[in-house]
Amino acid sequence: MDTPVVASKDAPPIAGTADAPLICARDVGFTYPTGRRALERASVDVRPGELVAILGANGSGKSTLLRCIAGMLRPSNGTIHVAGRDITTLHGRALRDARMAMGMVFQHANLVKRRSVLANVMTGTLGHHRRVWTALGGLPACEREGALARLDDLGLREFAPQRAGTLSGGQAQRLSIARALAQRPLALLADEPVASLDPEAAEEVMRLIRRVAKDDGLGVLCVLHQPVLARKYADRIVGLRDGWMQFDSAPAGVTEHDVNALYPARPIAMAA
Amino acid sequence: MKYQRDAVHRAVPGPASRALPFLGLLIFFVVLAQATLVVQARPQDLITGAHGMADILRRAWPPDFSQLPHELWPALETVDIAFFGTCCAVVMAVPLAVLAARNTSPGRLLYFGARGVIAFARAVPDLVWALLFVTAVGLGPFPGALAISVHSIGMLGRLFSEVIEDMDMGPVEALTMTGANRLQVFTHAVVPTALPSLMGIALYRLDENIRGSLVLGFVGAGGIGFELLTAMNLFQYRTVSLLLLLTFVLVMAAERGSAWLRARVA
Repeated sequence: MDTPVVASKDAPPIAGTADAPLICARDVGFTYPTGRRALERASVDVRPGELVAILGANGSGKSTLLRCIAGMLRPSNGTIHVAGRDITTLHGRALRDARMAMGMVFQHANLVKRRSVLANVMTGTLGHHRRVWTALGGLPACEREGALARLDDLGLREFAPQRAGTLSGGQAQRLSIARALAQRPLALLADEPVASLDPEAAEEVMRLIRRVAKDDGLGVLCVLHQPVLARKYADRIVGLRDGWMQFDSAPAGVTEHDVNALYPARPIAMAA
Repeated sequence: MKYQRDAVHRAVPGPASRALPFLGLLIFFVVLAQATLVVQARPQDLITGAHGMADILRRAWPPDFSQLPHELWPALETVDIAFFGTCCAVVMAVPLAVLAARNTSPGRLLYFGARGVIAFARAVPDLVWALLFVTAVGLGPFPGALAISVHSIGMLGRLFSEVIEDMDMGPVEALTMTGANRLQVFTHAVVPTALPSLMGIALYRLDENIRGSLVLGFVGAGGIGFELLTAMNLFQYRTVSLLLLLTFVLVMAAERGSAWLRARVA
């Protein structure tokens, strides 16, 4: 029985139940058009309120896995269920609607720099307001209050009228999270969200991402290349190497040896 | 750690490649010589013609300012031909450029089709377009505006598509992921990101078009150019010099105005 994936602007987002995962990827494989086999038999579950981190070296397939789950890439094999629907079988409009259940945050904030901070948040709601007015460049007025509240929540309210290009790295990333949340998603997917940030800003953004999982009840899947942050913030860590899954367990069950094995030829010192 | 000296790549070439610059220079002079022959350049014609030129200059001075009120309307026509033509061209060039840009074009057929239209509109000079439209529509400013418009669609379409291809796709990707449809992504991500460059290009085009519309008058497409042609045919040299003065003022004003606006917008 298909549960509705996209929340209307009046109803709150529909959360999965405690034991049924929000995102369920099974045996996902991906081959790039060049022939490179980037991912092999990857499986991962994300439950509401859970923060799952994916660790791996460059080329390990971690971004590929995330992008397959986000619906940006179509996997060569395997299935990916998001809120009960297998997105690998969807196309066009149906795929776009299913993707709306997942908010996406990238390494770079990818904001429209010339527009105001408030406008950037409000553009996250466009998927819910497909009308002539928004197609011509207008923003849905009914979303304004909610957007301001969201900015307030993230400590960015004072910047609302400013151009997004004036924000610092950490602020910009928080704004991009606000935009993703404005979509009213069920899950948050983050592709190396703190890779471009200094350590202090990185901690701040990770704290925010964890808060999104714990307080708002979203399922969060986060690709990281810092094992320290994964240990500190994640409920579960998935390790990938050369496209293969190496482990999937709580931080307590992941040893230094396991993590080092992900990064061949260079040892990593980890703070315990 | 021992530093190793890499092989030093010297700027001094070997004997064969040392001769190349001289060979190039020789070829250049040979080509220049044949160009001079083909063009039938004769410095002595300039000298014998100087007498005739001095006569014309004498007859053209001082400019006939009594004609000024009569010439103000054609001056307005010239500016408006350029303005109207540029506006129409911008409106049509933007969607065409979106189709002609590799990163935003929805399909190969549309991509090559749009590129073809742009190339054709660009390749034909605006003067030729003006001739075509004057033949089709008749004399006056409208064929001039049409010619400016069509030629500018080509120029603007090419430059706009380059701006779109070079732009940062990050916001476009991010907005697509939020569930916005193609049109929303265009107006909310592509346009704000590309707008300053597009406006700068459009303003520069307007400046060029004012100069262009002056020339179009020669083929009957209205404005000062047409007045200039008439005055010359009637040997009214003092009116001609007035019109040239007016032209100079218009071009300078357009150039300054365009530069000022571009600095404000970009």
